[in-house]
Order: sequence, then C-alpha cells, then structure tokens
Amino acid sequence: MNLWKFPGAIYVLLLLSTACTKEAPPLTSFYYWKTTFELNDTEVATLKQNSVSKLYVRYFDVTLIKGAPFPVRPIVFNEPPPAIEIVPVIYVRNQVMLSPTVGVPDLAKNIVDYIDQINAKNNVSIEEIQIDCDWTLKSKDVFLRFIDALKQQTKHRLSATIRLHQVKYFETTGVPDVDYGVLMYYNMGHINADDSSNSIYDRKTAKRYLASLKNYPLRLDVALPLFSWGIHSRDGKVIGLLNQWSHESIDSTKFNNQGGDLYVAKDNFITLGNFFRKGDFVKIEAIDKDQISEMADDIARSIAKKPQTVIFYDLDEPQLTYHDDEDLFEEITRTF
Amino acid sequence: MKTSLKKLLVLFSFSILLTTSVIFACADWYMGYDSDSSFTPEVFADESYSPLFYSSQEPFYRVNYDTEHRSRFNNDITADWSAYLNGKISTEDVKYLLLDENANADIDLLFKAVQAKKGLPARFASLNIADDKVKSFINFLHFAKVIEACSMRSPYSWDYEESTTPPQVAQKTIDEITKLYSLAKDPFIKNRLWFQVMKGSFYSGNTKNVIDFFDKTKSSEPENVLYYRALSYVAGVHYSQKRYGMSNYLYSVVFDKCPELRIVATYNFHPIENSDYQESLALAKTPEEKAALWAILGFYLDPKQSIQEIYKLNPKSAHIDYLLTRFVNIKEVDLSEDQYTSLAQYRAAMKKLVTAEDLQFVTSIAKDNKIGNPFLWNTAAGYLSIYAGKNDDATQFFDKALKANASPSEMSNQQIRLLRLINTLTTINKLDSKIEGKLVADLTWLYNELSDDDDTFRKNNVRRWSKKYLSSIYKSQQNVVMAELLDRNDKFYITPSNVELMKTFFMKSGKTPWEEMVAKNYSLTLMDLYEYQGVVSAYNGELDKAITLLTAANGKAELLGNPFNGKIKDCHDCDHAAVQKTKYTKLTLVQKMKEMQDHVIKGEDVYNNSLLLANAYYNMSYFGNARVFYYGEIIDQGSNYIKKDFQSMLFSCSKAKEFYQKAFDAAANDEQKAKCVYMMAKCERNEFYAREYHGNDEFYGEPDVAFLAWDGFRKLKSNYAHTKYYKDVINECGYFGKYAGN
Repeated sequence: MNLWKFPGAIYVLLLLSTACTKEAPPLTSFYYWKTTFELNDTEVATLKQNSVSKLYVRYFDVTLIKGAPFPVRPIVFNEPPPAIEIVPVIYVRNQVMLSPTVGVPDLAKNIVDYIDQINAKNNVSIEEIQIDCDWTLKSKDVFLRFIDALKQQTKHRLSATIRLHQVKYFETTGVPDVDYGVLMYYNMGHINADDSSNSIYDRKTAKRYLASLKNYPLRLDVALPLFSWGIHSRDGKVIGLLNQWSHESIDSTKFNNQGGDLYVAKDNFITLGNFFRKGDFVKIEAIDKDQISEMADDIARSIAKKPQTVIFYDLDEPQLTYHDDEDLFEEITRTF
Repeated sequence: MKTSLKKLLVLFSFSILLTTSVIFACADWYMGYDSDSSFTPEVFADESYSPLFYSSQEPFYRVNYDTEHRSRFNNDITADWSAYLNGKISTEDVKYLLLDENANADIDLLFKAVQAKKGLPARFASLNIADDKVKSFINFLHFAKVIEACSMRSPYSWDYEESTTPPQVAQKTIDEITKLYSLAKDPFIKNRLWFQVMKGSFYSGNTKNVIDFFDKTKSSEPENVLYYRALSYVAGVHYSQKRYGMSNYLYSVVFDKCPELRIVATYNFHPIENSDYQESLALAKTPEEKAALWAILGFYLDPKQSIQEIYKLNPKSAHIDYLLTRFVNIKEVDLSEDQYTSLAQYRAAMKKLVTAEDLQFVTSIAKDNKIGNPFLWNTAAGYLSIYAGKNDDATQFFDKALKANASPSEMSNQQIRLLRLINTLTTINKLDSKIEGKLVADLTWLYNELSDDDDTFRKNNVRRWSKKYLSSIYKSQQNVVMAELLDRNDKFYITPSNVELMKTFFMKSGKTPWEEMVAKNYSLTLMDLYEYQGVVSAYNGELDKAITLLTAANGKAELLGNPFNGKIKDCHDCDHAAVQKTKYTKLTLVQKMKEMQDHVIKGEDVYNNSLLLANAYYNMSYFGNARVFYYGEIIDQGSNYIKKDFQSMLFSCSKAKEFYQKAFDAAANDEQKAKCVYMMAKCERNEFYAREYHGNDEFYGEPDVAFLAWDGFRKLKSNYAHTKYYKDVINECGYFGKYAGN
C-alpha cells in the first residue's frame, strides 16, 4: 500500500504506535517505618486509593551490641499485613560492615533466618528482601561481599537502597550485585540550624549528582520524601531532632514565628517531650507537593531507565494528612 | 534496669533511614573536656553528680550513656551479704553465688539440699545448711535467680520470639516470695525479700502489684538503696501508664535521696508537657522535694532558672553546685568555639556571652552568704567577672574563694591559680620584658609542670588559648618571631626571611627565662629549620647549600626506595619493597646527586649521570618514590593533598626534565634517546595531573582524562618505534599502548 495516497492511514498508524509505546507510569509504593505494624484508616485508604500492590516494611535494624551484630527494634505485627506484596527492609548500620570481627556469611544467614522467623510467625510470604546500608569506601568490600553472601542464602529477589554519592562515584564506591537499587532522593544536606538550608532536600545539591544517574549501571527505582521534622537549636548549634514535627506542631502560644520556617521559643517550657529554653530555635524542614514534583521532574529527565516503582517515605498518618492530596501520588508517578 | 532500656529505645530511636547526621559527635576527634573549658566541675560538686556535669559531646558526662544497669550494685550486694553471713560462707563464694552466671546449678542443688536435705554440691560440701542465715541466703538466691532469668535476659537475640517477647516472672513465684517476706523475722532478710517482690512484680504481667505492694509495705521498710531501687520501679510503672506527673515526681525523690541512682533517675525523668512538671511540683511535699525536681529539670532545661528556684527553696541545697558548674561550663564552651582575629573582638565576645544579668545572678548569690558552697560560688563569680571585663572584682572573688575553701586540695588550688592566670592575661595589652618576667612562673607551671597523667583538671584550653592570646599581642607589636613561637602559623616559613629571623632567635645566647620557656614549648627546633632550608635548596638545585644545611640538620630519616630508579611504570610500593644495596637519607641523596652533577659539569659519562640525576629529581617530587624527602616538621605534607604553598615545589618536574634533556642530548643511541623522551612524557603527564587534578580543590576520585598525546609519546612513536625500549613501553604502559593504537 502506498501510504502517501492515504494520509489518514498514516495518522491512524501514528496514533496506534503512540498508544502502543505509551508506557504505564511506575507503581506507587510506600515505606512503612514503624516498629509496630498497625495501619489506621487513613493509611489503609491511601494504599487502596493508589492501588498499592507492594509495601516496603522495615523489619529490623542490625547494629553492633558489644561488638557483635544483632537485630534491634524488630517489627511486631499487631495486625496481619494487607494482602499485598510485603518487602522486608533491613537497615544495616555501616558500623557492622566496618567491624573486623563480623563474619559476613554468618551475618547473611542470621538475617535471612530472622526474616523467615518474622514471616512464619505472622504468615507473611515474601518475594524480595531490601537492604538499606549507608556503606562507605572503607566498608565497600565487606558490604559487597555481604550482598553476595545474602544471595547465597536466599532465593528471593534482592534490592538495595542507593545514596546519591554512591551513584556519582559508583566506580569507587562499588555497585552491589542486586536485582535493582532504590535511589534515596532525600537527606542530601547537613542538618544545621541555618534557616536557608533544608537537609531533607536541596535542589542545588541534588543537581550535582543528577547527571551521573544516566551512567549508573544498576536499574533504579526511586524513593521520595513525604516527611518533615524540626531541628532544635540553641546558640546556633543543633541540639536535637524533633521527629515528625511540622508547622502544625508549633503552638503559637509557645513559639513566635521568625519568618519562614523558623520559630523561636517565647519562654522556658516542655512540650511533646522536649525541653525548650527561651530563645531556642525550631526550624521546620518539610517537603511540599511542588518540591516533590520538582524532584520527580529532575529525576525523570536524568535517569537512564524509567523506574518501575516510586516509593514514598513513609506511610504515616501525620505525613499523609499534611500532604492531604488524593492525587499527589498518582501525579508524581505520572511524571516518569 | 529494664525500664531504662525500654526508654532508651523510645527516647533515642530516631528512625535511622531518616537520620544521616549525628547530633552527638563520636569520640574519634574528641579532644577532651578541657579543649573548650577551664572550669573543672570535679573541683566543686559531689562525685555522685558527675554524669550530670556538662558535656558538649555526650548526653552524660564521661559515661555517654549509662551502661551500669546490671552491675551498679554488684559490690554493695556482695558486701551486704558477706557482712550478714559473717564468714559462714566466704566472700568469694558469696560473690560467686550472687553474681556468677554459672552458679545456677549450684544454687539449684543448694536449694534442693535445704528443701529435702539432699546432698550438697562439691564446692559447698562443708556448708552448714542448718544455719538459719545460710538457709535464708539459699532461699533468697533461689528466688532471686528465678527473677533474674527474666530481668537479666538480653533483648538482643537472633531469635525473633526471644527478642520481641520479654519473659515474665510467674505470679506463683511472686506469691511465694511475698509469703516468705511476710513470715520473715530477720530484718535483713525481710528487706531483701521485700525488694524481690517489687522486682519480681515489675518483671511480671502484674505491674499493678508494684504500686499496690509498695504502698502497702513501704512504711515498714528502711529507706535504703533497695527502697529507692523499688521506688524507681514504681516510677517506671507510673510512666508506662502515662502518669507522667507522678512518675517524674518519684524519680526526683530517687534523685534526691539516692546518689547511686542519680543518673538513672535523671535518665528516666521525662515530662511530656509543662503540665506534667507542674503536677510533679504539686506532688512534692517539702521544699527539699521541690528543689530536687528543679535540680533534675535543670539538667535538661535551664540551670540558671533551676538554681534560682532552688535558691528560693533551700539555698544550701547541694543540687545547686552541680547546676552552677553546668551554667559556667555552657558559657565557656560557647566562647571557645568561635575564632577571633583580634583582642578587641575577643573581649567583646566575652562580654557578650556573660550578660550583666548573668553576672548579677552569680555575684549576688555569691555575696549573699546563704549558699552551702561559697568556694564554688566565689570562684564562679570571679571567673564570670573576667568575662565581663571586671578583673579587679575577679581578683576579690578569688581571694574570697580561697578563704572560703573548707577543704583545700591540690586540684582546688590549681583551679584558682589557673583562673587567676586567665584574669591576669586578659588585662594585658602590651608585652615587655617586665610583664614577661611576671608571667613566666605561672606559664611554666601551666605548660611544663602540670601533669598530663590525669585529665580531670582542665588545663589544655588555657594552654592553647594563652599562647594564641599572647601571640596576638606580639603580632600587634610586630614581633613576628615571638608571635610565631607562641602560635605556630604554617605560612610563617614560606617567607624566607622569617626562617632567618627564627634561626637568629634559636642561636641567640643568654636567652631570658621567658624566651627559654617559649622556645621549649615551640614545636620546632633549629634542626627543623636547617632541614627545611636544606630540602628547599635541593628542590632549587642548590646542592652545595643543601648539603651544608642538611648536614647541620643531622636528620636520620631514610628514603623508602631507591631514589635513582627510573622505571616505565611508577610503582612506589614495588620500589619500597625492592632490595636496596644502599639506603639513602636526605643528606646522602643530595651528596650523591652532587657527585653526579659534578660529573655532568666535567663532561664525564654525561648520559648516565644526567639520567640518574633526573630520576632523583623526579622521585623527590610528589609523583616519585622518595616523598620522604619532603616529609618534615615545616613542609608537613602527606601523600594525598599538597597545600597550595608547596604545590609548585612538590609537583614540579622541571629539574627532572632539565636533566632528562641533558641525557637525551648526550645519548649515544636510539635506545637511550627513547628512554629519555619517554621519561619526559612522564614529566608532562605529572604536570598535567598537577594542574588539572591535584592542584584543583574541586577534584575528587578518578580523573576524567587519564592521558593525552604527550610530546614524549609522539616522539617515541614516530622516532623510536624500532627500539627495544619502545616495545617494553608498549608492554608495560597501557596509556602508551592505547596511544600507539595497540
């Protein structure tokens, strides 16, 4: 058929081909980062509204206790998890990887056994294990061996969180032999009292790393932040992190707004379990929808391959209420 | 105590995925408490407050976190029971039975023997179990161990069940001990069984019994350590049931009455809102109890406010002492963390830090004469007066402090001497021989006589600060040598005339005691200056001068590899590991180089001598195998980053190139020429790396461009491809291989 004679046919073909190549957006998922598993109505509704089919649940941390690695803060299921795929996430502190006495094969075996015990007790079956470890140049070799040892211990899929610096300098920091990585697109700055910076997200900092994304040899999913916190400072020095604090946590009878995200304590007082001296500062670091969109845009433009899943940190009612936008997650995932 | 542990998790368990920075810095770089403080709290406050002294780095002074949960009372318990048993069981055995984890089997056998009159375990074969005290001890051990199985079990395990389900003491056990308690006549035994009921209940599912049993029986128990340990259990149960006002009030009682548990009570004190604290205050029945609440709150919130409140309630309260040390230490630390460039700036910062209100607060209480520790208050008032620029007042307060010191000790005298010295120094604006003469004894004491064996007394901050302070005065008087001697400036010797000035100072005969003291405490010696000048001369090619200076320096450091090597591939480790017939020092290297240079000048074996000389210059550079040549007190550059001041000297390859060119010009054949052009290519590479990477502050990690088509590469390929050396290069040098297209 001579298509030139049938311009309409070309149009139809083009339409069809566009439709065929239009890929579905990445799946929406969440991290669940509490020590007890118990979803409230808002959290359940969020999972349903976003057709979440996979939830990343922090199972336990591994840290050194008197020089030996042990699981700490293991999750306790107060209710059965929803009937979706559960991916256990294990946070392994870098100190474990740096310890000269830790045996990598034993550690891998213990971790897999412990996950099995949690699953058996709570009737959870899994297909994947995710490792979260901020490994460094010094611990790189042990970490990479640890990932290899895990592969020997389990048939499940393996994934690992990847920090921005690990992407940019992958040739020196190493690439774990996992099925895919999750790019942690937050905690990119130093925690400081200065009002002009945000330690959760700083586009200027992020941009220094974005160009490297296209070269990273591992397929990457993306984790984006929903959380906020307060940074408590005194005389210019950070003295504490106020977990989950947002602008809504600020009681105007106790704090004066200094403009922007900065608040100053009017007097000496105690609130939400924290001690404030008159003149102390609280800087709220939060992420709004525009910023999340900006992150998604920037990553989408830079990443080598579209992520299969976008994971939001984390599934927790105060954060969901703060963002209070039914379309937020879908809009973000559609950016990719 | 298990509550502590649980709370530790609650209070300090920030989600790790979220936190990348650590608020409390780790000990790696920590320089000691006196890196920013000169006011030693140990001089003034009772030892039981020690964990509550101010630390800018840790939650609890010196201990960081309380780790004594399982062992705090081990010695006391052993001593109590040994005294009670009075030799019926040896102290060693008492300790074994009470504390050794392996004693359980023996305890079981002993208990069975008491119950059923069965045989005794071998270790205790001669024990008289018919003795009432022995029998009571064994009964006690039996139940205490049952409870310990729950209270002492580590929550850390790779068994999920174990790590999530703490074992609980059975009600039956508690009932049995309660019965024994009610029947017991011996007050020692009764008191200990009482405590076991409290402890067992705390580790059972029936925590209500902790409160009920305590309320029912407390009036008949002595208010000893066991009593306050039991009261801590009560406070813990209230906390777990969200009765924060009551819980914190009870912890404050423990804090007040039981010094051994002060850290535990402080750690567990945790009001959620102001109203909780107000509720605690309302529960406090006496001024002492209210003072205790303010004392514990002052640890977390505002020591000044707490002192003021306690002062109204009971000015003689010992709690005030530790709070005042915190108040002073916090002020000091704030000053020390900033850097000042002039005296005026420094003094202004000092004044700003201690407001008139702060000064008035401390001095007025010090003058009031109502406090229990006038030594502390007058010392603190004197110290803060220095900050406020009231140096005469400071002197008067220190005089009063000395007089008021009821129990002078070496450390308390040292403290006053140190603060007086600070006071004297801060009044000095100009230094001359008269003032130097007045200061020399105190500064010699500070720098050279105070022992460093014990780090309790805080002296290092004044050591460091006084030098900087005096240096800045000398600087303002244009006395650059004294300014440098007191505060090492790593740019000082970049100016050659400064080296000569310092040499003149070192060589001066008849130094004053002040000059002797300053020279003694300076980190460099005349030998270091000679060596520095010798090394610089060598890089400049002034070999005669270098030999003279290095001879004077008398340095013994040996170079690690053969500095005359000129391999195709640079491999420092290989050169360092290789067997060497001759080991070179800085001096002998330069002497050898001089010999070679003389040969070159005379036209003797010019090719070989030039080549070896060039190799030596190459190896002396940052890129060579003889970096030790530049290691020293003044250049002080490591193997990674070279400071800007030294980059041109250490990155340069120009001397090496000069002699490679001479070798090339004198070469007899193409093999020799090939070698020279390749060596010059290495120099080109080094200069490129230095310019693009090592000299660039932004550079990190791997270079983007590893090599270019160096002139030496081009010549090697186009002119010497027929040589054996060319083939060797192809085999060994990947970059050249790539360039040549192989």
